[in-house]
Amino acid sequence: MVTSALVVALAACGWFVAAMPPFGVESSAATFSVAAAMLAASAVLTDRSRPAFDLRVREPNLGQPLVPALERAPARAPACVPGETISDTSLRLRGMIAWLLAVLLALAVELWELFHAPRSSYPTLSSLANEVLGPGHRIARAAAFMCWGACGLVVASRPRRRA
Amino acid sequence: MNTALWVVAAVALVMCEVASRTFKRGWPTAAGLLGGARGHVAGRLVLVIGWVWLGWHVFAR
Repeated sequence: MVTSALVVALAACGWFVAAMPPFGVESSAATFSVAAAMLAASAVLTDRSRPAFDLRVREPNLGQPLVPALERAPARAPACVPGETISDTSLRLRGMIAWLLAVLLALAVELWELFHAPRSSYPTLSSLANEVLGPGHRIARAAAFMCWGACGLVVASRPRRRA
Repeated sequence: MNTALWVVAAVALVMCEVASRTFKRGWPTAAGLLGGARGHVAGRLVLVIGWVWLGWHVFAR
């Protein structure tokens, strides 16, 4: 319910922000206001999803024994063969290095393009995005604003622990 | 030519994600890496600052 209301509010804000001219006070104020609202909503939603505030525990349960959330035994991790664990660790390390190299490659490309001219021949990520999300593309811009706002709910919250 | 550099960078990132889906265990996914960063206060702070900067950069300037 709350999430649906947030999505609708984000869509409405996105539609108006997409029509605002860039480099203006209005667009800056609207963007930072939505960012602040999303951070506040993220904090509230995270607080509500904690076990101590879990509605399933607080609600009267009509005759059934109440089992506190903290007493539930966590699922035990399956026993691993040592060889598999070493293989997983090695693969994880290799994966981390691969991710690091891929991100560094993207960063190097961005810097290479940034320090060369003209921009039409050396497009940065921003100039490429501007082709799709520029002020003339209201629908795409509004959709991007909605996605950006929704990401704010996720990045500001602590990830849930798996049982 | 210079757009091809972006294609190479994008392919490298996509290949990393494909590898993580292929191996399943061990190789971290992009979501797993972001989740790991969100597990720490400093990581969340960096992500939030980056997110606010992205919104300002794309929608306000």
